[in-house]
Amino acid sequence: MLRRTVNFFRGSVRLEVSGAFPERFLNLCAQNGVVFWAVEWQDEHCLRLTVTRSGARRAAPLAEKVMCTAVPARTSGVPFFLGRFRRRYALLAGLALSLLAVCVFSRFVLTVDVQGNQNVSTAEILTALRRQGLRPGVYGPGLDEQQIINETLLQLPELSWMSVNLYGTRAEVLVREAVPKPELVDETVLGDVVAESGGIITHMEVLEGEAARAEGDTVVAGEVLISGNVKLEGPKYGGGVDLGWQQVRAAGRIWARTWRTLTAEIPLQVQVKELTGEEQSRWSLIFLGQRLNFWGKSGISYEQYDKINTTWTARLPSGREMPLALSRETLREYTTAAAQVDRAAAEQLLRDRLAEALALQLGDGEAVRTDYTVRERNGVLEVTLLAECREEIGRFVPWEGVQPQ
Amino acid sequence: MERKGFLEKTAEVFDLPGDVVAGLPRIELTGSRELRMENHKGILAYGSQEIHISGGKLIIKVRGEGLELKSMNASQLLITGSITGVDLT
Repeated sequence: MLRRTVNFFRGSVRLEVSGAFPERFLNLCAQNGVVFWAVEWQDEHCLRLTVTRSGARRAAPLAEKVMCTAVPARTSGVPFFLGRFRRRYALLAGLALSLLAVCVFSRFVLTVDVQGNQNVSTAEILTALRRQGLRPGVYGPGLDEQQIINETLLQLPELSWMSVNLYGTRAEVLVREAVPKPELVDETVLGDVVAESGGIITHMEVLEGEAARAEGDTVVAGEVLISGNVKLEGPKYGGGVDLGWQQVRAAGRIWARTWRTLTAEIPLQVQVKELTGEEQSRWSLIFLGQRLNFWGKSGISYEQYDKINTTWTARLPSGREMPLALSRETLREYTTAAAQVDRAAAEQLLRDRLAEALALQLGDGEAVRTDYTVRERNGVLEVTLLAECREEIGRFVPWEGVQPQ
Repeated sequence: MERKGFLEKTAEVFDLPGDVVAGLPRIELTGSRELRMENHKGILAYGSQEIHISGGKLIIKVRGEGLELKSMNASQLLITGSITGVDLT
């Protein structure tokens, strides 16, 4: 088996030797070190034997010496198989180019893989890396990884650590996100807690300062609810002499019943798109981040059009994206025409929008009761939301002109 | 010839291996399927039933069925097949 394998890689030739005394040829081969095997006697003056590729070249002159002729009957082995391609120049050129491409392209970064990010988007990190020169198509050995890491971390303060590893054509970027800094209250800034909006106070939690209003009071927007000026009263039997005033940073939570009015409107007649059926496709190839357009410099003849982009990215069987993509840009012409809006659908749309806006304004608060009024005026549908809410209205406002302590 | 005869006698007197000292042919038969020969002087005749090998002063005739010269070089050869007899002449 081993010998067969060796002969397969070395190559062998089946020779047909014919002459008056073929056995002399065998003796001559043996004396001259021409290795042969599988001798097969055809008849008295003809035999076949197998020799190595180099032996075949030496066998012909030896055969002539003993007045025989040695003709190759069959060749086998790797050298003869490869020899068939010797004159196929295009194939050889392709092979050489392939090898060159493997050698050269393996030095370039083809994919950038970001791992370890949760809140910071991959696109954001890739954009920052691209600014520093790390992008598909860049020459790998020319990158200064440490410089890229330092500059990118400066650009993205949300990241606390980064590592760039080059594995052939793949750049692996590992990141760790920074723990967000908690918001600190500056206790040196003094001020009051005032009402953000008007209402009836239902509950008060005064943490610092002196309550300026009580539960059940009606307040308007901007009115002081908790004062930062605290009067220090004297002892009960001290002759009625107060100790003076102390300025503090007022803090507390004030809950109140409030009423909010929100309005939204929509025209009942709108302009809608109507496709004319005319469309134009433009193809482009994106390789290593560079776009190659196939449409030249032809302009767009449509006055109004939609642009739809579809991109097909080449992927490896493992799902990894390659820096090669085919993009199609479809331009569809349209014209505009007036159309009547469905009134019920428009009303429901406005109601939903108003409810969303109210929820956004209330934050932690809640709407106790809502009431919608709908009216149509000059072709415009108007929906008004009147909501009774329970929300926190206290907001800290620092004193103006007072230096922090 | 004279010299070889002398070497043969010397090997015999001093109890030395003749194939080493005098270059005499050495034949090794393994069962009846394989014959290995050293110090041969070439093939004289070849056939599937009989192969004649030169051993210098001797001619070795290997008889059998389906005889085949498996391999051969300047000093050794290997014959396989069903060997029925070996004659020295």
